[in-house]
Amino acid sequence: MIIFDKISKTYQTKNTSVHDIDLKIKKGEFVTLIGPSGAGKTTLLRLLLAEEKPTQGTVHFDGVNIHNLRKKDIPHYRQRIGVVFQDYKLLENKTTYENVAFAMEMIGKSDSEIQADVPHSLELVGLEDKGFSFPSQLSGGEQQRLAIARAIINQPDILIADEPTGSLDPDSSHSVLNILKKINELGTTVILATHDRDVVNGLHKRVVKIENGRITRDQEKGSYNA
Amino acid sequence: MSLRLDIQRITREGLINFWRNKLVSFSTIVIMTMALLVMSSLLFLNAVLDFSLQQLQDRVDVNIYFFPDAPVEEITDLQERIAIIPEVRDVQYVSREQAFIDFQERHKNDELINRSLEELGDNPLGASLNIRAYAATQYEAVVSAIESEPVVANSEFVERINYYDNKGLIERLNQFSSIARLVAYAIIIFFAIVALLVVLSTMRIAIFAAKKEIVIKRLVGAERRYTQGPFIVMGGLYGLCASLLTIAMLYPATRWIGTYTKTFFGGMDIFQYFTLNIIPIFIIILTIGILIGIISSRIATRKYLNI
Repeated sequence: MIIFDKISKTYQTKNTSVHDIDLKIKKGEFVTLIGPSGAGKTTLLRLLLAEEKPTQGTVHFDGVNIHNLRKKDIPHYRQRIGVVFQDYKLLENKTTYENVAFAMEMIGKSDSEIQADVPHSLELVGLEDKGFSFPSQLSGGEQQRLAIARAIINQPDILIADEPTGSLDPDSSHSVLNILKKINELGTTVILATHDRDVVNGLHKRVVKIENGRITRDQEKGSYNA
Repeated sequence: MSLRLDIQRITREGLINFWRNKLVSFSTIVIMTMALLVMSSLLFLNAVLDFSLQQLQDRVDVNIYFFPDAPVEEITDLQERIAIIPEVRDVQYVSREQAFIDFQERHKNDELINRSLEELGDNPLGASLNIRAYAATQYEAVVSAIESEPVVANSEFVERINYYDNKGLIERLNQFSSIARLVAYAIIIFFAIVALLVVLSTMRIAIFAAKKEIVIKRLVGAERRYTQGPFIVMGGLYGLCASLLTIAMLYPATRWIGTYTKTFFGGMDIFQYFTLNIIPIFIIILTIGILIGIISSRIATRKYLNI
């Protein structure tokens, strides 16, 4: 269970901020955060990833206030979360295969497990032939799919996807959404931030709308326009 | 997770990054090599200074002059007792005959002295003992030990000890040696710090280029050892390569400079010093190189780990 309890985050230099957010996300839920650019969706996700500290309020994951975690415990917490970043955040010096393998290496998976799982994961996102390519040699859509492969490889408790279809064509968007749905069916909590109307309307999942840093709508099986 | 697997993966990643960032690796190694060359030249400077000061000190000795009628047995007996004083490096006995030959040799062109010696018809010189201590600062202790010997204290055979004539000169030499060493150490420390800062700045620039990578690794849950470890391996590798390059460059450099130092510093051949001490020099340079690489990469990555 994830609980955002009266969360506020203000920046001195940026306009983006969130105010007094109360949000509970149950285990295994699929939540879509919608709202215009700069509404505060990414800020909320950064707070959940412990990348930022809130100005006020707390974020709890499985009963633990994640911003009270010791520095050395933060990596273990993050290992339970798979993230598909808006800007992919791929390791430019590593090949496609190594980018996914790295996520497994850091949690201590054996070489044989890595050799078995990485090709399977790349196949799932349609990058089985790109194992030796570097991110700079991949298209935007391929980079996005690589980010997804990395995010799901360790079967995380939560999968955060920040605008994962932003730079994709409709077919690729469809396949990305199918992957997210499949992951969710396997029990992973999925939090998807998007402002893509078609994506939201095609999902029929819980929709949380954020505008000017505040939740303005929270609807089970919602759509983009209520 | 096993420590062996951790070390294996971190080392492998460090090696791969070292190879894939060839340009950064190359430029860092070049800068590091230059810094190590500066540091090793300071090592040689120190050796040259030591050698020159030693040469200067070797010219200082204390002489005990005996009356011409002093028995040889008494003198050689005293020589043996002086030789066992811990601070004494060697005691040389100069017989009356040798002293006379040396005197004649020194004044062979002085007509007046030659004529006076002919008129005398006898050797007017006494025997002497030339005493050298290990260091110029030890002469005071050596002389007071000699003066406590009964044969010297009674002044039966000893005409004079020239320590007091040379005392001022010895003290000035000691003072000069201390100042010269102090200045040399200050210069060595200064240049060593400058070289260290240059390497640190180069590493910071190299690691700044990898800042994004560190941040990404932290965000996907990599622990400190997985983010910082490969950079430390790379830093160590830079140090290792730079040390090997430095040693390779020192060989022809000292060979060339050696011919000049032989002339300028009274026989100190820097090439010979290098070849005789190549193992300790290699160990020192290797240790400094690897330590600088590791420490500077640790410092340079630290600020990006707070995510």
